[in-house]
Amino acid sequence: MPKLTIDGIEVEVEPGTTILQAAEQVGVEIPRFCYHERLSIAGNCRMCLVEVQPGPPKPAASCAMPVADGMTVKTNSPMAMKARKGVMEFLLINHPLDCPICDQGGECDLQDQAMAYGADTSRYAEAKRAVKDKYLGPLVATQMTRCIHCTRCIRFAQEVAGVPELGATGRGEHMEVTNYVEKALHSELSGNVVDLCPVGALTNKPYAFNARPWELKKTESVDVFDAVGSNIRVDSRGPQVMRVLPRVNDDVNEEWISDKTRQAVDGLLRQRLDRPYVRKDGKLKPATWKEAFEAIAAKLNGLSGDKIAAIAGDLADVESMAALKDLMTGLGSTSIDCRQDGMKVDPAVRASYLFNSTVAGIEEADALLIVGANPRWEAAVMNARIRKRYLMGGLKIGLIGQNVDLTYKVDHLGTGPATLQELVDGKHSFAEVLKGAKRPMIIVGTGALMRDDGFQVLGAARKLADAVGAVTEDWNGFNVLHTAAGRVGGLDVGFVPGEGGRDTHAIVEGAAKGDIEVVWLHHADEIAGERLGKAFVIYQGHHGDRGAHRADVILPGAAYTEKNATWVNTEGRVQRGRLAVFPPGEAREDWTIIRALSEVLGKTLPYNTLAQLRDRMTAANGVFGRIDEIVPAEWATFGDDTPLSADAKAFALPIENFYMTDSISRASLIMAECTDVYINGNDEKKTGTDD
Amino acid sequence: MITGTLFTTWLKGEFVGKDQYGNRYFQERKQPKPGRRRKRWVLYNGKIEASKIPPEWHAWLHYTTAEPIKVDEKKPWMKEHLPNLSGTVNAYVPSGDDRRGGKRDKGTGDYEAWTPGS
Repeated sequence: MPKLTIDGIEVEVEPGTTILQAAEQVGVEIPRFCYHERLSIAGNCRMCLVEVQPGPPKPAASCAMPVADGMTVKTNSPMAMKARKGVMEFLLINHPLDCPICDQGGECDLQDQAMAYGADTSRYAEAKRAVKDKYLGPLVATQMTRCIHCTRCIRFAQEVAGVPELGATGRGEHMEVTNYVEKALHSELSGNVVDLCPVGALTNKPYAFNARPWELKKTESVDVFDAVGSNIRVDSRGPQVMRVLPRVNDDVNEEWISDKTRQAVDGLLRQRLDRPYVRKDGKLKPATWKEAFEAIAAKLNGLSGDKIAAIAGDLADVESMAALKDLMTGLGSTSIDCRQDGMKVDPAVRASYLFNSTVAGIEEADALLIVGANPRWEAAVMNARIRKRYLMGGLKIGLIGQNVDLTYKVDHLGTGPATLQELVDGKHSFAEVLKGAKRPMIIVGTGALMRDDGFQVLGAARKLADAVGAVTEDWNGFNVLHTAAGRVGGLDVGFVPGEGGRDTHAIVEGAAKGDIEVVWLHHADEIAGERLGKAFVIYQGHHGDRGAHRADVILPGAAYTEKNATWVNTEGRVQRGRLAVFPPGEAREDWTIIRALSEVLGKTLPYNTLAQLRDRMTAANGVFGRIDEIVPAEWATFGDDTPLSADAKAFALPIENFYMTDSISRASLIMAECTDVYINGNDEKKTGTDD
Repeated sequence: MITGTLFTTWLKGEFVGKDQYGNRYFQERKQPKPGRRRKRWVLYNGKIEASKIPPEWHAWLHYTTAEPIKVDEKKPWMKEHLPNLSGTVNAYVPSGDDRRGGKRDKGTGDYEAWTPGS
């Protein structure tokens, strides 16, 4: 391993490391614009110049120069400083001096580094160049005059997002970063170019001119728009969430988040439930908490447990589900379910519903079979991880289901369960690919499991995993890709039908027939109200979405940015979301509502604080005590062994519109605009004479 | 109570001038000892309220200028001095206040609540 000296510190690094990376290891920071650790090396900004000996008597770009044995690097020598000052002067020649009206102000790399390397006055008296702004869609605003041509956005689109739509035309002073045609950037990860841009050339369009970074309170939290559980930072000012940024977690989202995660937060300001409602004479009337609780108590009084049911939705947190389960048990009901889409998994076997290989484990896989899923929409950040593994080379990917563009090359094996059955029987050639692989992965999507033959699909996938040797001591290649943030948490906390209990399908059927008299919809918005017959519906949630319209009593709860709550992502990683702003109006944190109601009903729950409730959760299932850890799940037999029928219908995808999947994103105006642009295909720039 | 101030004014004070509100300004009659300066003070007309002192006299009182600035040198762009109006009927009321209709511009954290009709 080469040994070198950086600023007098001797260090031994892996061969092939660049000087800049080696410097980072010993804690020496070299300024840079174009270098980014998750993108390929471009070496075109020249800000990272250092003095290297032995070598030619000129500064070298440290980001692109590999280390060699016996090198002596000086990062702060007069030669390096002079070179950087020169680079900075050239960069500032064509950079406008509009920091006061630039959205990047305060978090701008160029601004920061100009403080260290910029001259006090400009020697440049000629006219600055101006560049026409480009149209990149409803999420990214451009001010291309500010661009310093670091090409980070181009490399991101090409490598990570997998949409080679950005590029550069011209050279020298005439170089322009452009997408060639005036069309939106077709990626679910397009918002990340805003974070990557070191200057204010690409900024967050919906957030434009709303706040300055130093005014914002930063709260580290977890995303709930998909089941990946991306780590996010919620930036809020007073009572409003201003924006959401990614937080680095190499095991989950690296440093990317999807556009929905980033931009749907404006939905938190619309359609909010801010007070309880009670239905009187067929109409919902505003009420106090006391009246709402009394209306529920009057209805539940003397009702036997088998006439009561609860369904938890996609955005439900673990704490409130644990409390609601305890309340339902107290009322004598076992009809509870956290799978409102009717997904079939085995709650008793944790491995049957987890993404066992883990998200980071994707990088170790060498063969991948995707069954009935569209990871690009169901878990956009995870799809970037699959693409990353694909770009490393040597990954064969098979797809059963709808043939969608996943940004990487896949073998489309078939559309329905028949193909999966062929693989299980070893009749398909792809079975050999999986068998030959050291670490094969099988990803089963919700679309394949929410069908009537879901248990058979689950069983077939499990048999296939066993047959190809996907489950070994240190590798579990069986994966379920969830779409709902609350799903794994609900399964882990046991929010599933108990003995003699009904599942979602049976609850809805029972309500329509009149066997179920009270249905508690806990953040559940995907159940069509008219199917619930004459049942008394209690809706707890934060948005006036589908569930609230049918409700007889509405209990206003908190959205994910408004409560301290636990979420479990699709790999079974327990993560904590934190309160950034308070719930609006009369709304309260969800578990406290259930705790307060339990007292009115005379079934007081035995916890008064969040800590006590979390102790109870941990006692019920040990995984809740292990935050941000992966607890490997025990492998067992699950699913239905009956072979899949050859003429079963093709797998459908659970998400029809990536930009609108839940009550928050359905209330968001920005997501509505994205739907128009990306889903309805109005992706060309509006010219002003349209409509 | 300004009894003490009135006594000092009678004993040591020399009248310097009067502003448009009727406040009277004084300084010590005698030349002070070396290293000290002549004390300057004001006797308010009516309520004791520091914001009633116009800028030209404020400058003199705080030794910014040696002599009071003459009011007739006023430039056309100079605005009339306005004392603090808090607590009076002329006090400033922001546009979102109930007394001015209670309609304010949209601000941070405003949300649209759901209503059953919508």
